Amino acid sequence: MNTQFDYKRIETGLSYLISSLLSIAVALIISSFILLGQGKDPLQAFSLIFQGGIGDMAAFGASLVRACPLMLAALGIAFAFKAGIYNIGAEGQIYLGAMFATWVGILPLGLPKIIHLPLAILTGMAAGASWAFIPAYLKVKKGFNEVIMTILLNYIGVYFVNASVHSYLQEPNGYYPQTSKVLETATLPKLMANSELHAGILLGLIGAVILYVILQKTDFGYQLRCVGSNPEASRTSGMNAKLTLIAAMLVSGAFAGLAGASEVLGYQHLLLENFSPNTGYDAISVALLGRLNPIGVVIAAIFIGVLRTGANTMQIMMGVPVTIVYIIQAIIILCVLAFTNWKLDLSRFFERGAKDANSKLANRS
Amino acid sequence: MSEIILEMKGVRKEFPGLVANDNVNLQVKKGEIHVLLGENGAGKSTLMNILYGLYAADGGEVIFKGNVIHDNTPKKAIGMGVGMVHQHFMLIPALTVVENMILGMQEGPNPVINKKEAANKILELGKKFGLKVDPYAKVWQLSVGEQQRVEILKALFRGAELLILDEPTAVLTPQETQELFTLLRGLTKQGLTIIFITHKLNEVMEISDRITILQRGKVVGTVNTKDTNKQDLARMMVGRDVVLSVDKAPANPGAKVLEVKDLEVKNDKNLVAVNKLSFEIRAGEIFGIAGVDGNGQSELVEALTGLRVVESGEVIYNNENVTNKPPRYLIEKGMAHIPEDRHLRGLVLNMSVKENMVLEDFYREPFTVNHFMKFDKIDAYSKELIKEYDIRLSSDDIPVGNLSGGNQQKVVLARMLQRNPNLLIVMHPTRGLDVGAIEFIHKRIIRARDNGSAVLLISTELEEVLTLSDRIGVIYEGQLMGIVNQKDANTNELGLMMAGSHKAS
Repeated sequence: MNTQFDYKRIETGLSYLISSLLSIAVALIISSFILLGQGKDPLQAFSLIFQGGIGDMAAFGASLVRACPLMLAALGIAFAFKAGIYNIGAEGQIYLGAMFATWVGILPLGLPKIIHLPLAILTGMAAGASWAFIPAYLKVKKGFNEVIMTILLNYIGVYFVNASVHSYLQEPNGYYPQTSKVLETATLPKLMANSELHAGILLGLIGAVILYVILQKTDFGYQLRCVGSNPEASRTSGMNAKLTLIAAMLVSGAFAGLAGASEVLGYQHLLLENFSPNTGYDAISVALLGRLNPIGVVIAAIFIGVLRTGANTMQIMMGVPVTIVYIIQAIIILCVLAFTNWKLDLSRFFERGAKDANSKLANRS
Repeated sequence: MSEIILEMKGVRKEFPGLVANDNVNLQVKKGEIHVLLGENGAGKSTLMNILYGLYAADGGEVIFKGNVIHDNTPKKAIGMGVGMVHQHFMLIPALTVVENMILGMQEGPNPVINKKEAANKILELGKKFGLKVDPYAKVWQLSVGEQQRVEILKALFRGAELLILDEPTAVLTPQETQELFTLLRGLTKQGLTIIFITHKLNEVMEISDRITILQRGKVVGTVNTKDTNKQDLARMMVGRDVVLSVDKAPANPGAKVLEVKDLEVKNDKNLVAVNKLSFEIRAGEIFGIAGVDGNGQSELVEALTGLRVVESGEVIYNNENVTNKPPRYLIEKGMAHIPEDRHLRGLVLNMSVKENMVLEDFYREPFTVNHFMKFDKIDAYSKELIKEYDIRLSSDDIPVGNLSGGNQQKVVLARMLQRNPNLLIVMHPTRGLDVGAIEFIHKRIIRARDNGSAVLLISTELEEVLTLSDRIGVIYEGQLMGIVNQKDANTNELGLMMAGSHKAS
């Protein structure tokens, strides 16, 4: 057993990489036909997507801005899914997080940035977590289905926030349904000169590392993975499955709230009606594309960000409807799901080699 | 009366890792009530699902009314006159009785449903067979017994000549059961044939004409009800061909570890499953509980391990009242539990062997320090257990679900015994394992006893209970029928007790 080459880990990593690339390739081929059907050159379209999304630093910066809320929300979603609780409610949690962060952000508290900004961010996170607590509590205590609960709470959350920018959060003497601008002391710093890229992306990267460490290195993460895989066995071994689910949901909601907060404090700087439509749902795709792994989610979010930003360029240059990118994205996710069970079998390759060698030896003697 | 309506010859059905039916032969005569008797997992339902076309058999043939059936489907089976009432009713609660009846039936090209005609037919059938059902009642408004009647009527409505009832009394009250039996007798007088699946011996003696006993997918035998008795049946159900023998020194019981007083526990259907049960176990002895499956064993274990609410009564563990304490509290006090279903309760199948070794103790030192897990410590611990318990695997990084059943059970066993429990609760420790693994696990359980653990062993395999236990209790309908010492125990007496007679004193 000691002499055995540890190819299992390499194998898992490689097969993830290969199956992801394969699913993207298949998706691009299918998309090519759709583009051809529209009378457009697919190669030109793909190269424009590439240039627009990642062609230079400014383009990449724009892609990261798009990726940021997706990444943060998807990290939370993946965390909840790992625990076996299906949080479809990121949309509502993002809105609530954004609203409360904005609220703190526009308050003339006279605080220095070092206090005001974290306060706004944490308030947003707390709002997202509280919104997520409702379905978690009802699931654990009353056995309600969290999928239905979170979807319904999305409607309430989104419309509640939209209503607020029409009423008490509306800018004074304003005409548009929007809040005043967030004070400078509560905005996330910019990272690049000629780009909108803000520090939210750093929060995403740090968050991913923290979640990864929690999941893989701590006792809480271990318990969460156990509960997510087999709640009955976890309960039998003495774990508190209910508490674990609630904790996972709180973390999940906090990350969605952070996504909303960073979008306002870093990029939009004021809260608009429908400020970020469908981000919470797109983030579910990102979480699945990243295979619920925090590091995978980061890569997936950046990938989708590049795709979306590049698609805008493609639309402008070629007149291809941007919806084509949504189709491509959907096809990629379907392909990823289809290829999930496809595994690289290195062991067979190695063992066959070993067997051949052995049989040769046997023949010789 | 002696005409054979159904014959199943050499039927075989395999599921991954399990032979559910192995060369099963069954003959059913027209107009009889034929009971299929066997424990959970003996293959009764599988056999009937093959007959009904829900499963395709891997071998053998089914002959119904003289015709060999090929490529069976439920539709074909219904067309031939086979009706099945499943344990879980296949009714749509929001619809009326008549709507449920005609569901999935399309007669002719006319797309319009004629409910009135169907309702009349229901009333007519009801009159003929003495089944009173209001065709326009909504199913959700009916009692469980009435819903069952609707299911039976549905089968008759579709022209069933052979009616399969899968554990029909599991959901009924005693009164409803009697009504059902009266109904079934009436049906056979009209020429219907009934196959009745159950593991309840009282019912078998009361209702059946002939009985076929299945055990681990094989037919043990077919007997006429009038030529047999409950005790023989119990033995045939749980008996085991291989006689196991384990070297075991006499027990050396010490202090009282567990005392159960008038315990009452309900099952998932909110019926009393454990009924005023009392016993005690001392350190260094194995107390075995024998009994036919489904007599409250699972609920008893779940109540003792903190997984199920105790309605009344007390559990005293090491002189402390631990009634309704959570599992972790009990585990920290030294209780270990080898659950009945290792896939459901014992293991997290998609996590690695290594990670499964610390399911109980992962949060404690040395495995976790300041909330950070020490994987080198876990790795060393796991390697040690794998060696000590002779668990065969290629690497302890692979998911535990990839191991064979015996090795999986050894993982659970290793985890539990390594904690030096002062109370070990073991349920069906060798179910589905091969002889080698069985022997190993038996030896380890005895070693735990010799090291001073109190052991509660619950198994439906009489042989296992007889060989391992120092004292044996028999559970029947949630009550202990009596407790005997191993050296005084004989299979006859235990068989009687398993069938519901109190211990002769």
